[in-house]
Amino acid sequence: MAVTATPPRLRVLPDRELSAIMRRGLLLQAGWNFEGMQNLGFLYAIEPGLARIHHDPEERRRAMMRHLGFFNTQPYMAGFAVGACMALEEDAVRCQDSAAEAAASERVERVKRALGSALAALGDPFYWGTLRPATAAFTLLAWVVLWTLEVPAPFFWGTALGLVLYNVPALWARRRGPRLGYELGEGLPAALKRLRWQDKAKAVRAAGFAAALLLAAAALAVPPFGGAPGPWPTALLAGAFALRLRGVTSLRTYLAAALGLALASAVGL
Amino acid sequence: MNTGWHLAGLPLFSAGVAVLELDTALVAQWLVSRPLVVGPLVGWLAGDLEAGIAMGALTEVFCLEELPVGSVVPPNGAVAAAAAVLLTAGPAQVAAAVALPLGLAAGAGHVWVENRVRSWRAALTARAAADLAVEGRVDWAPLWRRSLGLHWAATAFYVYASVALGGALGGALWSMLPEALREGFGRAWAAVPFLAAGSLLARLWR
Repeated sequence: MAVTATPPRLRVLPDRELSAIMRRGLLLQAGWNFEGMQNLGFLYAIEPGLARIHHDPEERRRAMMRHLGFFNTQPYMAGFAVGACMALEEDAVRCQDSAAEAAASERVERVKRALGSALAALGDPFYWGTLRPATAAFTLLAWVVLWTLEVPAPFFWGTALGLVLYNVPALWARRRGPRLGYELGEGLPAALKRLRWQDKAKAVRAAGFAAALLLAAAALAVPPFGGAPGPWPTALLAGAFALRLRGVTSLRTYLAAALGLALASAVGL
Repeated sequence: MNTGWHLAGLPLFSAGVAVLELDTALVAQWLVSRPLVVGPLVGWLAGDLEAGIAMGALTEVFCLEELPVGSVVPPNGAVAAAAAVLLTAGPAQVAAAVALPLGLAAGAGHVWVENRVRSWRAALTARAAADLAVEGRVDWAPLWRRSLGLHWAATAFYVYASVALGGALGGALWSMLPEALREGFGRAWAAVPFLAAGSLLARLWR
């Protein structure tokens, strides 16, 4: 097929466009809806790239219409897809005849959808499933440590630390995403696999678990809301841990504990 | 009834929380809307940092349980933390043991608001398509203003209504509860950090 025979891409997208795409990516979900999901945000992000690639207004309009279709992925990872789609759009523009161009346009759509799923499969477990709870544990531990060390404004600094720890990897994906996607095009998923996201997630999770363990030990030693240390808090913690692993939510455990303790109070325990 | 609170304090807090809440799903997602940030901030501004820290930490852990994957809308942590803190630190002074579940309920209820706004936003795609067909470009500024403005207004109103209603009902219900149940909630409140710690450990276990 003519599409696969296209020569290597021209580097027509300067830093200015890539930075604009990154900035616009901050509004990726601003138009989230159940039909197109992130479609509006994706179109908004890719618009500067399309303006640079498609000089003919009618061609540009057609490309924009195409990108108004469904798209959804982990929001920090979307830049990778935007970059890869721009690379494919560039290939489409360089096709010699209309049949090849139509095939290339179809390929953009197909790859875009596939990338959305692939990037979500990497980003959701890493950012939402691991980094977010881990940085919650780091923040809480920082509060306790800074407060114990009598550092001024411990909660402010602890929270700031947690936000930085979370946002550095998120910012990396947002900043590098468009460029890497653009440079690698369809080779992007293989390259992202080489970054060993799962290994990194494991390490972050282990560090977060260690922080949560220290927090639990501190809470058991000095109960935060009063009461004396003893076997009951340890039993509660172990019970909540076991129930959560079995899929029982913390809120249900809390309400059950409140009712159970109320009954215990009623019978004089 | 504290008129000043309902006419000035609570509307200002609600509007401010709704601005921060935009970070949850719509703008940037820097996590400045996470309960660990919103709780202490609202508590500090409301004059009860201690309540803000406690509610922020607990709602954070409780709201980590569902992930915003695909079209899943998890309970809103920013709304939950803000409502819990405002119920405790505001003039209603709802007992912390009740303010926490009320706050979490408010966070869960916000899912309905979010889903309504998300359904409405489908009209914006049609608007963008019409812009493209006629002018060959999309006029983004009014489109984002409508999308973010409606979400902000809906959230601000929801926070206001949750705290106003929760304050009135929470206080009244608390005083009507049998002593044994009140004591049970009090003991559960002392136990909640251990439940939260167990839950956080389980979240990071696998």
